[in-house]
Amino acid sequence: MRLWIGIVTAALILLAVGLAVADRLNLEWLKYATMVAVPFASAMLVVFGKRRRARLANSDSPDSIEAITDTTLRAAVFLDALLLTTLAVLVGAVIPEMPSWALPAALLAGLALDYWIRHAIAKPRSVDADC
Amino acid sequence: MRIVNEVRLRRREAGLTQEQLARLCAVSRQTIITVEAHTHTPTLPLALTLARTLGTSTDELFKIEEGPAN
Repeated sequence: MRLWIGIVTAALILLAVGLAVADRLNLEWLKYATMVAVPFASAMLVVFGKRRRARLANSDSPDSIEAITDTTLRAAVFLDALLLTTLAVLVGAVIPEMPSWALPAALLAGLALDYWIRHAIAKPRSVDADC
Repeated sequence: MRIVNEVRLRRREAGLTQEQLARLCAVSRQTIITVEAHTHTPTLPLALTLARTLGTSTDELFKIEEGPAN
């Protein structure tokens, strides 16, 4: 969890700094490069970090509660993604002067937050533990 | 309808810790914790593996607890 939060926080800071620099220096290519490279790199870090930890704890087994919970959460976030994307398209149509990078950035952040909140709520608690 | 189980009882009888049972069944310890706490119903493959590992049958390990009729 801490790793995930750290990576997402670093990604959001890098995204904000990259976009601010691109905006100040008027470098259109830097905006697109930041929008592609930062989410891609952070997604890769999250995926590889999660896989490594899951392999060590056997939580990647399809019969483990973590894997089952993850599948359920992904399905729920997919439905939210459809709704949020529709909303983003509507906002883009209503406010055409909005910067082109703002909606995809908000969408990415919103979906990451959505998954995180759902994960925090659904996460099996270590109650009744007894070795 | 609720599925109850005797996993904790059988595990203790077998002298296993949750971690050991989890490793023998190739699942996470958290899975064993939630199964024993009756907050998670295991998949059929896991139920069969648990029964085999604990030297019992799924019929003995898992029971359907009938709720009050509506």
